[in-house]
Amino acid sequence: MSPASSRLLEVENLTVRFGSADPVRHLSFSVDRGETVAVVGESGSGKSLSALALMRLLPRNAEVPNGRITFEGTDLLKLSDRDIRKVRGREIAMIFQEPMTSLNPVATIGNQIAEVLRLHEKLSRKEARARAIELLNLVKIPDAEKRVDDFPHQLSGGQRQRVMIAIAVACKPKLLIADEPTTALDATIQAQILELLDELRRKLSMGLLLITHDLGVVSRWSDRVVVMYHGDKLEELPTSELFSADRHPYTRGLAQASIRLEDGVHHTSRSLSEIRVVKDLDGQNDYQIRQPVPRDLPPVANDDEPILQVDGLSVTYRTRNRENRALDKATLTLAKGETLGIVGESGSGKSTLSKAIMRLVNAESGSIRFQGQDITGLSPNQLQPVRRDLQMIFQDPFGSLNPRKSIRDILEAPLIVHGVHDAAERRQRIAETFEHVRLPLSAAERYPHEFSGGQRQRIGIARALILRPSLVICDEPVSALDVSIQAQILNLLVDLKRDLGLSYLFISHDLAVVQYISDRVIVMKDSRIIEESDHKTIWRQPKTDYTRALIAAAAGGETRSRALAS
Amino acid sequence: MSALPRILRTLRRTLLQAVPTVLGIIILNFFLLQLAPGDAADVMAGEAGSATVETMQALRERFGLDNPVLVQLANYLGNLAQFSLGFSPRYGMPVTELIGQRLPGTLTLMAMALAIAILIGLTLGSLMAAFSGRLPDRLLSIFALLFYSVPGFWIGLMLIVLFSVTLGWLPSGGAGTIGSSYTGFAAIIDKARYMVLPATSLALFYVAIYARLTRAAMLEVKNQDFVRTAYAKGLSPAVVTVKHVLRNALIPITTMAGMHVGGMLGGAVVVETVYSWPGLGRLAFEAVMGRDYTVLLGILLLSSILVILANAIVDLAQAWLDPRIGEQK
Repeated sequence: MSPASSRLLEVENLTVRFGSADPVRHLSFSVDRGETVAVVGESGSGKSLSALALMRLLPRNAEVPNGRITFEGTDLLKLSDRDIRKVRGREIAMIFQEPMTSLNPVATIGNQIAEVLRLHEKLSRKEARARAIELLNLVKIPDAEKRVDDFPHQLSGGQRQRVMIAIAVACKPKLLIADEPTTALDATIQAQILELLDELRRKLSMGLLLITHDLGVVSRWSDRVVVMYHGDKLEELPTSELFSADRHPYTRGLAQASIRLEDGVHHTSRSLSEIRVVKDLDGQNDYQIRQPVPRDLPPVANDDEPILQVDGLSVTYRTRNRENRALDKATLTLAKGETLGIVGESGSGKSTLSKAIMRLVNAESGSIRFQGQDITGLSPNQLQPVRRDLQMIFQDPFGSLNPRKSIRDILEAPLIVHGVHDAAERRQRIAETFEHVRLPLSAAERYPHEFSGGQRQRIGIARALILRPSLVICDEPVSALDVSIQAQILNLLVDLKRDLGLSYLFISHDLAVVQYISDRVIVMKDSRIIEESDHKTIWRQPKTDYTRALIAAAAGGETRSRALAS
Repeated sequence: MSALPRILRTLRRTLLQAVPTVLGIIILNFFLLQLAPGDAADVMAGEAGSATVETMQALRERFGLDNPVLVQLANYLGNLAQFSLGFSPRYGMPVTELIGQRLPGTLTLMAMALAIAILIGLTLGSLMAAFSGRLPDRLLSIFALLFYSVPGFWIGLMLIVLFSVTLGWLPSGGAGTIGSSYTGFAAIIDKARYMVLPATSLALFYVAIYARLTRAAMLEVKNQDFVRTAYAKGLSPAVVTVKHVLRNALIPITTMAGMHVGGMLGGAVVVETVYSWPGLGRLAFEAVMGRDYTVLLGILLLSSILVILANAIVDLAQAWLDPRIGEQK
């Protein structure tokens, strides 16, 4: 137990209410000075709402019917609007998940940093500007004197998040709340940002409240963990015990469902644990961990002709006065029944590669052979029969389904386009596909908004599979999903591959996921394929420095947890 | 990077695009007008009540209306090249002079109306956004709907009934007190008194549009992440609204304002008729009735230049408001 004087924040019995729903119920936890506390949970757990409640930034239709938030001896819930504004930005600061949209697009970053200094420290315009430059240096933005007049769109995502951090620490707050600060960033940038946050925490002796879904981040950067599920705090524990056996079953399920790079788990060796939460007879949640028994996969047929052969494929995007080579001489082959993983950070050209193979963008040079046929120069009409065999699963399960169409309409559209005119046969095909992706048949008459993210991704998979393709391109299919859902979808993809004899081109920025699902792996950087290897070799003996850096960044988050777990 | 080079780049691009646009408009208009039945000679003969084939022929020859269409076009373009808009057969004076008399009246009326519309529209829209879903929002929405749906001439007439006839506060028509010898400030006041009613009735429709537009734009911006960032800094709601929300919301509004300049010219015809305001709108109307195509072409040319100019100003305003526009890629 820490002495009372070191206690910075004490949340007691906090409930957040929207109408008749309570998305946060009776939450209690505390943060000491200089301590990092992580709040972990999946979407809908109420972790972000709790953070907003601390700053009294909840939407207007939300209320806090009970609870106490004691910060340095004052109850924040009792402060007047004017007094809470003196706390925001000065005593407690916050950074958000989306660096791309969290800065005002029409104001310079210098002014956005200066604004908070002029407000709370009453600095003059000139002093505030000088401090803004100092702060940009502090968060390691190169050329701070010049960049201070830049607008947000001139900065990369990682740099914008650094500016957000500069704004947050400008007045040396005692508590910094970071709500998923690195979720939208690439792995290497992610590690840098977290390192920066930790360094600033020590320098400025702040308390840090880290809100995240990522157990890797939690295990490396926090001292204590609060685990939340559906508005309830399940348990609070020192980070060192996060992976020990006697934890709450949900915590254990989370730990098992998240894949870690150094565990070296592969879909051929075992399937991923899935968490099931069921209400028992007393209305209490019962948390079950289930590990499906893996079944044998047929070996990849190497002697057959490859299903896909891409040779020297280049794509250039042209605007009026600029050329951008988005894909440079990519060459790859994919055997029948194989899964080829493609890793790379944003802008590495991996999405362009998938679009070029799908013939959604035209290649400048090179060739694509699919099932023995050269499809590089086919006209849209000639492509039509090819598309039946070549389908795609998209990243965003929310944006990729038309909200005004029922699931049946969404699934029937490709069938009609491809000449299945018999309504009975279409119904039959939809029923089969639903069985494959494990959706209830009643889902057909409902609309996308009625489904959760994981269910929508199943619908997206169903749409890709309904034409019975032979090759499916998966573009970041699990990146937008929670850990437990991610495990379910990955297990499903493995099962489908076996049952339907599919080949996958699996694109992801998440090395652990790629490691789990792929037979071979390709690494992309700056529009080029820089490395290719089988799924064992690439992690053990990476050939390029870049791959080594990627692995280090991805593994960094988990080294400590593994050491602690074993 | 400072805003100036960005704005200059935008200006240069706009000017380069304007030249072919204007030329296209002239030629298109010329042929469109040829499609209308009758010409100035027909109307003049009709008004005179008696005309022989010979006098008609003589009239046409005098105005150059007997030439083939393409020759007429070439003549017109030749005139334009010498910065002359031609000669009006009906008014018996150069079109440039004719338009010159009327242009200031219409321009002040439009500028006034646009200023009223934007000012009141922005204020009401901001209020509606601030109280969205609550009583002030509902009430203002009803007013906006009313102004939006009631035709301009009726509002004009009702304003006359209320302010001129019943209350006697403002004059019911005209552009200034006839025979007055006001100078300096008094003259401006006099002018303004005559302008209030026509400008208001022209503006009300646009007030409604801008109010709704501002409301929608502000509500959209309010939900953006950077507004939450601004609140997390400890800024007060007023500062957040003015410094972060309004400036972002202005970007779509300026686009609409530019597009409305053309619409306002059309609305000016009605309002100028109701208030017997001596402006371009009425001149255009008279030119159509008299089949005086030289005048009409001159007005159309001028209004198209006006619209292009307004769009250029909007482009500049946007380049200034939004740093992402006009950036060298």
